[in-house]
Amino acid sequence: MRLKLKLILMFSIVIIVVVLSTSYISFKSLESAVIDSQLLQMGHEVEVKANFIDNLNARASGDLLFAVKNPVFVKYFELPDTKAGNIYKNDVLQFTPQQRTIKNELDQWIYNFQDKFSVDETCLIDRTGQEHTRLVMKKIAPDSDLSHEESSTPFFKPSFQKNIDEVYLQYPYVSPDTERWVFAYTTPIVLNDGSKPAFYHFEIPLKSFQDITKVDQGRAYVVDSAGYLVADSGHVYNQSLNSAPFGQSPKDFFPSINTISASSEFNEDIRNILASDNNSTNIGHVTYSGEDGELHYIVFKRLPMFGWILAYEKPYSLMMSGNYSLHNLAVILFVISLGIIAAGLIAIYVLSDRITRPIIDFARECRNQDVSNLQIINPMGTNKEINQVIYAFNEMIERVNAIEKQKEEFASMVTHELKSPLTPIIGWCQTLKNPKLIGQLNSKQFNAVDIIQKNAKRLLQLVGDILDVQKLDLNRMKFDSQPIDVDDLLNYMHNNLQNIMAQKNINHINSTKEQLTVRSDRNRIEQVLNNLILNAVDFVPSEGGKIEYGAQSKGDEILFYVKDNGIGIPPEKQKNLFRKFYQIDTSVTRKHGGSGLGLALSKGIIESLGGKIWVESELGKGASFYFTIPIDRIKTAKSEKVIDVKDQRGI
Amino acid sequence: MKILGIDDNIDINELLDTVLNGSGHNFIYVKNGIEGLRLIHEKKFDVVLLDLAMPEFSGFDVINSLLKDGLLTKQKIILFTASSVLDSEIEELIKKGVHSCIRKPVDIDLLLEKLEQSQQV
Repeated sequence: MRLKLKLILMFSIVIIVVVLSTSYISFKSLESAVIDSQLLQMGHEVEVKANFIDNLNARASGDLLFAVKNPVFVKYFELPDTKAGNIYKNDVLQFTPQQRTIKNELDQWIYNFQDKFSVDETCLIDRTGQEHTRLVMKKIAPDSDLSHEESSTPFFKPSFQKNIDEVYLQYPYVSPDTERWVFAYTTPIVLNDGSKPAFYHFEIPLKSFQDITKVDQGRAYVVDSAGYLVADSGHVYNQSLNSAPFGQSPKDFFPSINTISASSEFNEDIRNILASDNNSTNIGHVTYSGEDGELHYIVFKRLPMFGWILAYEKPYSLMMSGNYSLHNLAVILFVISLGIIAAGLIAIYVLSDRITRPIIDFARECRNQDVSNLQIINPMGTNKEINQVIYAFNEMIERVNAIEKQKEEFASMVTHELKSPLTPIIGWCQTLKNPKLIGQLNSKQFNAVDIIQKNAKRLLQLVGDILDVQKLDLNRMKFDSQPIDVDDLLNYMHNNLQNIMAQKNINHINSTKEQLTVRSDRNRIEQVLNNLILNAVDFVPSEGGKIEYGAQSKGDEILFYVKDNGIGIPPEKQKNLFRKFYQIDTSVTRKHGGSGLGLALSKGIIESLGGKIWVESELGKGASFYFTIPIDRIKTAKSEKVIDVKDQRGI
Repeated sequence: MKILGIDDNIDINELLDTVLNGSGHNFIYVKNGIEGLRLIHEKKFDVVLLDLAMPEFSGFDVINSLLKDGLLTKQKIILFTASSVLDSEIEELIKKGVHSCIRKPVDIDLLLEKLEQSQQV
């Protein structure tokens, strides 16, 4: 993968992860702080309510005890008449005049008491279960209404177990008098001798207890150990009932705990709370997932009253509501996160660009280098590391250039040194042959000089070929690009070839019909034509030899041809024809000064000039050599270079 | 013709001496470019035969020096070169004022021909 992409991807991921996790952590921290503070607040509310309940309880007990402090209670039960036992007539309790007087005082006291302290019902019950007085809603019950079956009430026995100044609290029941759910508080009447002839009892409605659980927000409730709600701010209790007093099961009146939530988690939570340490009255917290999909928080406290649990709960949304700081923080965090991520991405894009751009630019500079003319590259950008690479590259280039320069100097020295002796050799031969300069030579001497000259020329040709091939190999051959009059060239060659053609009795024809111009290297094309024609000279028959050469236009190329009527070249020898040192018949070519390099050289030259060279021949039917030259070489100049290097390696 | 030869190769110089002086010309030679320049400044020649590849002070250096002094066109310069100088490069030199170029090894007949040509223009 590209470095740039890698950098961007990596750092983007890092930035995003860091920013998001930081935001998340700070958000969560604030959230839990808010929740903690809410829970604290709820805890206070629960304490407050628990205190209210305690107060209610304490006040009720206090009132009860206050009431019985009136000596009239003791006075009544100290009466010999009362002590003598109850007297009935027609099932109705009879009072003696003494009893009546005290009873009236008693009733008056209780009436005032009910007036001052709002209780539903008050009564006085003796050991036999007989009511001696009862007031319901400030109405004094007539004698006939006084019940004598109070011994069956659930609070009867426990009341007598209490001592003076002790209060017994009865579990809620439906009052037979008011027909609603009530608490009953009782305390015994204790005489001077310690006997307890009766107990005092009043009922207060459960409603006043239930009202304490009212809350503005959320839901508060009281859970009984049997799993139902004796109070619930979210439930409207039907206060008036038509049912059997005492007989009503709490389960029928009080809603099940499941009305808060049917979730099993909630159930389990409540069960755990109910089952836990009975003596602990500390504030506790617990949560559950409600059916509304929200997390609910419960703050609870065990009440001393019947071991009931007072609970106050709020769903998550309620705990967060009105908390603008949290909402604002969320928004701020979101905006900042986007900002940081955007800035980070831009920064990393720019940074990775600045890192990778010089690398790409450097690579491009390297690719654009002209292999034969390597230049040093200038430092790019401010990255020290890249510039290090560039400096190293430049050093390398300078070393390569130095080596190349050495090679070139060597090559040109070699060329010069090899060819220099040939000037005097050939020159003196020519001079010797010229009678005007040195004097006449005899025929033997002339012959000797001629042989020397011919061989020197052959050597010259060989040296030239080898140097040319080496140049092509090293891609060092330079080519001209001048307009060439093809006709002019071929005529010039025709003239030059007259001598040798006449000597060999060969009929040579320039069969060009068109006026052609081409932009290329005239000397090199001449070289190739010479090579092909002189090859043909070696292979035509000694009698009736014919060589035809010329050029014709072919699209955007000129097609040159050299055709002979020699012995031809068999197909299996054709494919290696243009390879270095390949000779069809060594005896023939050696005789005529061939090096085996001629065709290879021709191929190298033609291809460097942007053309193609090939042969068509059959054994016994002569050979035709063709090569093409593009009319305007400049258009194909660039692609040539590539062809040069690749193809010559294969020669 | 008065001909000056500048070439570091003794054999070539001696050959030219025999050929040119034997053909009725007045030929002298020197072995390096600096001496050659000196002679050019002192005397007048019809033709200068100048070898391009010489150590220390090459034929190119001679040409450039003459160009600077404006003496390039005062005599005909025929260049000898062993390397495969391109025709176009020779054109460049001819534009600067050089007469022509002969590739080594020097063809004596061709040289005599070129000498004739140089005087015809």
